[in-house]
Amino acid sequence: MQRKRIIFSLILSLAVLPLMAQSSSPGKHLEVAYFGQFLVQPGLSISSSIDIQSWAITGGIAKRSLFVRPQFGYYFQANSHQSYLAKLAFGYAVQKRKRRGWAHQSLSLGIGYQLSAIQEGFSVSLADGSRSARNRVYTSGWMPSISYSQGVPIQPQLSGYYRLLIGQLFENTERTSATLFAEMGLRFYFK
Amino acid sequence: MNRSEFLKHSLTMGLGLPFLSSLLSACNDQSLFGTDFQPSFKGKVLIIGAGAAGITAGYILQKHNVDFQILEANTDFGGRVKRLDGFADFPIDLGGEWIHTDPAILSDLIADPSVQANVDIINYRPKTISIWRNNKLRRMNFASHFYREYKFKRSTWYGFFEQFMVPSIADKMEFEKVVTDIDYRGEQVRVTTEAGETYLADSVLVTVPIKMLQNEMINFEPAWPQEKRDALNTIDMPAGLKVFLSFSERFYPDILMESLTSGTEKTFYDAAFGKDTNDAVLGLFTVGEPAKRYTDLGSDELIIAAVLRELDTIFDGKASRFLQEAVVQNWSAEPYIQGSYSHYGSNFNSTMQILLEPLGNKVYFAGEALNEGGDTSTVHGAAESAYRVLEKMLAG
Ligand SMILES: Cc1cc2nc3c(=O)[nH]c(=O)nc-3n(C[C@H](O)[C@H](O)[C@H](O)COP(=O)(O)OP(=O)(O)OC[C@H]3O[C@@H](n4cnc5c(N)ncnc54)[C@H](O)[C@@H]3O)c2cc1C
Repeated sequence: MQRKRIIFSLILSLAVLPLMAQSSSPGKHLEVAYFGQFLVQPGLSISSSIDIQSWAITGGIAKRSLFVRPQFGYYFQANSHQSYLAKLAFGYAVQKRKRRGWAHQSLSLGIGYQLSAIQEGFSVSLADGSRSARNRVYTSGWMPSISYSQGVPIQPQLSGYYRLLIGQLFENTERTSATLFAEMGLRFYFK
Repeated sequence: MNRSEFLKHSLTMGLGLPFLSSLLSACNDQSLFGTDFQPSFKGKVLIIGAGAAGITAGYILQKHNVDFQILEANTDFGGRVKRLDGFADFPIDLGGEWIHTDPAILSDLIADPSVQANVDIINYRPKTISIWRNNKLRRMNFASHFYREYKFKRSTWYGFFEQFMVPSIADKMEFEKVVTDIDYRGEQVRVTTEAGETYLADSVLVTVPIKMLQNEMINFEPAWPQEKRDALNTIDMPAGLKVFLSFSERFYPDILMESLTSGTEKTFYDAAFGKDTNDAVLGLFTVGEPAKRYTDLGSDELIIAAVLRELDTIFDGKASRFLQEAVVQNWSAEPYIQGSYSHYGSNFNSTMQILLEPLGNKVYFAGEALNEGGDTSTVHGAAESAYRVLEKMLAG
């Protein structure tokens, strides 16, 4: 129920945000994307970028900036785990005005904190095969990462983008693991 | 797609992980077998072999009030599912260990809603994975994201059959009955054992390992049609072995492979993973070429010494220092098994169809190699094969 409500709100925001948007500059934005670990463990990500410093170049048709990007991601594998990632990335972006809107590219370094609820076991009923007594454990760890993203304009206030993120999750000294996320979604510019 | 094909695909995708058959259930596109069949068959069935397929076949026949008897060459049931007690404070699976599909299969196999029991399952997702390459131990923990397997938490595959199927058929099992001849020329099938005993039945279900058929350990009268024999010989059942070592201290990762691609054939693994125990037990699972290198050594002592040497090289002598006990289960040396499990070449479907064709409409075949549903080489696949074949046999 809770999950349905979140998805509904997200869809609603997708519809409303373009209406609030402005076409003249690549101002603030919000990104909503499919967020998949190794592509196959699906999830959702919401992020935005805030410029720390920016330079307009060649008469305003392009902009370079240093930015900070807060991001919140959720992904899961059915009957296995649900993971939440809160991340802050610092990066460099170049945005160029195209006929239809703004194209962008960026490279960033980030640090995230991941919390996972892992289903370590369960009981299976021999009567009907159903599962019960799911035994969950929680793990967490820091995840430094590097990411690259690229976006193409769809409308003046809307672009489509993908982002690849490679990170290393440190749960404890024994358990560190490399991970790869692929993000594909929409960026909405607003006032 | 069968297990071997799936593993091959995984390898080409660079996921060469041991036992990574997690998607097998997804590959199995047929709905589970029809458990509601009403048998029109009247008569007696002889089941040869009391492994997963033979036990399941007996269990089904018992439920449908069909007269049957199981002849097993060994002194115990189980075949390639075998349990070792007392080695650690949890039971060890000396053969089939992982549940390579959704554990709901256990309920499907029992097919009896009145069985009010739960089985505790480990969501098997090893966390620390290392690879020994170029004399260096490298971490590959990211591979854990691709695991999706299950194991029994407190029980074993053997324990599952022992607890939920065998009680209803125990009095129908005869041990140390090595079948040597099956004569299906007459109205009834005549089965003869090594000791010269004969049994008559209206139908026979042969569930012995494919290797026993390839080596003609059972003589069929009339002989197998050439097409069937040719099909049989396209299946490989290579060497197979498991070793368990208990240590006073744990010094190894959850999974240790020699190379990405050898992961499907040779893997050291923490046998205590997910169990309620503090015992340190390391397992070695190996089939095919790597297994043969051990089985060719000729004795369990030499195999253990070879395994220890390898582990000592990787872990700076810790294996010998912390070793408490070791045990070898050499499946190639088991006289009524003689290997690991089936590996199909090409033409999976046509080979399977030819092999499943009954002889004279009286002698049927089941077992891990003969599950037309797709999951071959597994315990649940062997059990499923019994359902599929009996459905045809009992339909008459
Ligand atoms: C090392 C190893 C690890 C494995 N790991 C897994 C795993 O993790 N998960 C999984 O699902 N599967 C695994 N498997 C495969 C699984 O164990 C087998 O596929 C399954 O148990 C085979 O069952 P079956 O009934 O077809 O054959 P078997 O279990 O081999 O049963 C055949 C029976 O026939 C008897 N027999 C033979 N000849 C005669 C004769 N002449 N007369 C009378 N009786 C005879 C034998 O004694 C035996 O009891 C593993 C196998 C091996 C060897």
